[in-house]
Amino acid sequence: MNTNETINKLLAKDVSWLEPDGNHDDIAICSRIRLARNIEGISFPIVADADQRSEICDMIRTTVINSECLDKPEMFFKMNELSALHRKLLLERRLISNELSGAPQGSALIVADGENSSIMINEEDHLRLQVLYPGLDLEQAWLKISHIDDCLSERLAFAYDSRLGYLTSCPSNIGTGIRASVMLHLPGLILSEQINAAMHGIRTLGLTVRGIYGEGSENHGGLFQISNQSTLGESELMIIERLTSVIRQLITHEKNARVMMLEHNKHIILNHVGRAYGRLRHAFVLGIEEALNSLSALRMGVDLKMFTALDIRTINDLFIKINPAHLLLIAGKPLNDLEQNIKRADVVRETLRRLESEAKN
Amino acid sequence: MLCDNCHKNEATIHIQEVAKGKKKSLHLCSECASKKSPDAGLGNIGGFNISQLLYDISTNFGLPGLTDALNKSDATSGKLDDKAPTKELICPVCTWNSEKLRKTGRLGCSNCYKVFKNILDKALPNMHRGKIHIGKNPAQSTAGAGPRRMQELLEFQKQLDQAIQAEEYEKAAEIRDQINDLKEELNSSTKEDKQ
Repeated sequence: MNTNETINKLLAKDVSWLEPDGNHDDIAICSRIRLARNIEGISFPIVADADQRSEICDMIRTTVINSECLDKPEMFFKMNELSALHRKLLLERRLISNELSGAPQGSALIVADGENSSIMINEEDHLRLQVLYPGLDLEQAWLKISHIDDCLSERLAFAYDSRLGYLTSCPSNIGTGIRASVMLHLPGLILSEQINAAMHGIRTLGLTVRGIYGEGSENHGGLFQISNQSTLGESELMIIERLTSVIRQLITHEKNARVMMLEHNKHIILNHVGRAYGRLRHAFVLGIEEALNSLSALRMGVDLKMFTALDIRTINDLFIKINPAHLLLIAGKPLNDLEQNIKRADVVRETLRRLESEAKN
Repeated sequence: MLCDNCHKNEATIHIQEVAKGKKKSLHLCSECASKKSPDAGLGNIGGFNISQLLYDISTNFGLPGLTDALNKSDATSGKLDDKAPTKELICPVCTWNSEKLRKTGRLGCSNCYKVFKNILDKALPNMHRGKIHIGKNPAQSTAGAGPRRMQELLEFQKQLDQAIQAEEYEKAAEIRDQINDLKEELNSSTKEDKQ
């Protein structure tokens, strides 16, 4: 299968980790764990030259495939062979990081069938294992990624020090090498103007908060990513447990904010959701930010049972499909900014219309 | 404590350096800390590059901090020595040097952790909750108790959620106790692994 065919296969499928699983999935969209690992005796990617990087990449790829640690059939992408558009698609599907997207020869991605686990090769470290699960489920994600790590540990000698744990290129990842994060949808806290206080609290607890679309994008789509900062001095389980307990509290705050607003300022929520629905259902030109914020409001409306014809899964998928690389690949041709906004409006309008007509029949 | 930079937000990042017996501190809120670095990639902590930040402190606050420590360190032993000639630390295995460490905040290979040990020992407490690794190691077998116990913990957590939703608080309290026992067991087993 060539790269174009593999990309099309990827595009044709909805991502598995957006399937609601009943695990606080109204507010927690997905849970992700990444593990950083390096191979003993080989310089980190930042030092290695192109030939060394390619050699390590081939070796890791063979080992991963032979270990059968990822669900088959795996997909394999060499970063320097992908077009900018295809790299962006992988970014939008949260399969690669910005760093890997811009990496030179010798960097690659292996994705398991279903997209819930993947391995970045020669990103900042030789290996970055990644597992994504729907809802708040860091424990399951940990079981899965720890199993992949075990399988690979039997075949690869990882750089490890008894005092400092797993050694990584950046000292901010040493020890466990774990970065656990949960994507949360918090429109209630935004609407009730409690979000800054909540985020401030999270940061005080030594956790990191980011917008999903990079630094400073905290209010885009009401989506936040909360992750652990420290990787040394606590076990993986302790890190996950601490993060999970904070997230459970945030979920409770978000639920309370919604209930309070429904009780005391019902018109604010109804107006917010209703206008968003109007824009998404009837607009013919839709910018990315407007689309994200409207989808966020609509998602809350679905959570609050305001729409019988709409479901969370479809809205989760729209959050991915309205991104530029997805739109261009769906359109099958280059689009300028205006054409992109028109295409985005088409995709959203058509999806909502289809759901409504299905519900009527 | 308020942020030393904006004097508005609560400081959540505390950096302390001891050089030549003098202690200097910088307290920043996360917003100011993130503004300090143009790079916001994965290698950073909470959106800022720790080495760049240490470097900024050294230069902006006139501290004989990281820069000085780097310049005055002996290349082979990695020990701080004021009498040693101004010589850059270089890793003999991968040729990574202190200048590159300062610029990127990254290391070149496993051996760099020995070469730059003194610099890292100062920086690590600001990045992490502890100094010593607790948790998984490559020799840990797949059949370790951790994952199985974790599965049990997960089951209990789900039962707890259900009990609370059903307002069965006595049952919830029982489950909570079981969870606490299991957590204690898990934490003590990871510590035993360590020893």
